[in-house]
Amino acid sequence: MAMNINMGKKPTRVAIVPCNGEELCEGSLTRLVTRKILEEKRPGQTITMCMPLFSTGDEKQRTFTHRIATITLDGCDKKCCANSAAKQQGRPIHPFVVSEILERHGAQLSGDPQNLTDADKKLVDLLADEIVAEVDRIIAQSN
Amino acid sequence: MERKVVILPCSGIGKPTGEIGRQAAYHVVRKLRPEKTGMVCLARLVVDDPAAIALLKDNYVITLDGCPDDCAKKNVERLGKSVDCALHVADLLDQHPDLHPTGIVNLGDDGLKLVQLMTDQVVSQVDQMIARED
Repeated sequence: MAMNINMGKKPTRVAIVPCNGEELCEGSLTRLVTRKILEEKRPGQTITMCMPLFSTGDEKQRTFTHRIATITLDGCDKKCCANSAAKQQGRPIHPFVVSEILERHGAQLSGDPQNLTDADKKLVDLLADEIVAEVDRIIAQSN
Repeated sequence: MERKVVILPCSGIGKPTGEIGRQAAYHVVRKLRPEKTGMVCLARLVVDDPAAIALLKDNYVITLDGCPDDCAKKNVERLGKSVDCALHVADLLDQHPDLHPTGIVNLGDDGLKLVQLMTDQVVSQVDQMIARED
């Protein structure tokens, strides 16, 4: 009996790379938002990579953005993650900045990067929903 | 000028070890040795932020890496600075196979015990470095 082999193209997956900034509450939020999307909102459609590997990773990691659509999620306007990803000169980056999104929504954080308050954590969904909309847009365009 | 100790966790997002290092660093810098220690975003080193580099060059550095990629240590060394102490969270997990973190950012009780153990190691190293300054 012949095997039914799916010769269609591989499903698109989108990378979300957070800055993980340790100094700011916004940096901690980038981690929570990324995990929320990977584990709950778009599992199977999203992946991540540790941002420092952009500079010290192996060849595959240092050319990561050449192969996969990448959303960068920075905590502040230094935009370390977006700038580092852009240096790879791969596909266009889809940059997001937590502080800019929160400002647009008039939301404020407690300022404690270690112990996020319940109010801080409520903003995870707000941020995640904006990123998910971009994930869906990228996937729709690729199909 | 008395040197401080910069604690630099690896920013790992794919394994619990990254979060364990991050939480241990916070405990030391924010609660246990706030006068003697500091933190800087590893991401700022990745993009060669001058102020972040200056902070490293003028102080002791302890790196907390979650996996063998050693991102924190390598990013310090890439800038021409030696690490004064490189700790590996994965070693701690090997030493305590009975402790299993439940998630990557939500560590659970076992994960929090590992944070405490990691914190103890970092504090011990900080105190040794600071003693050299006295």
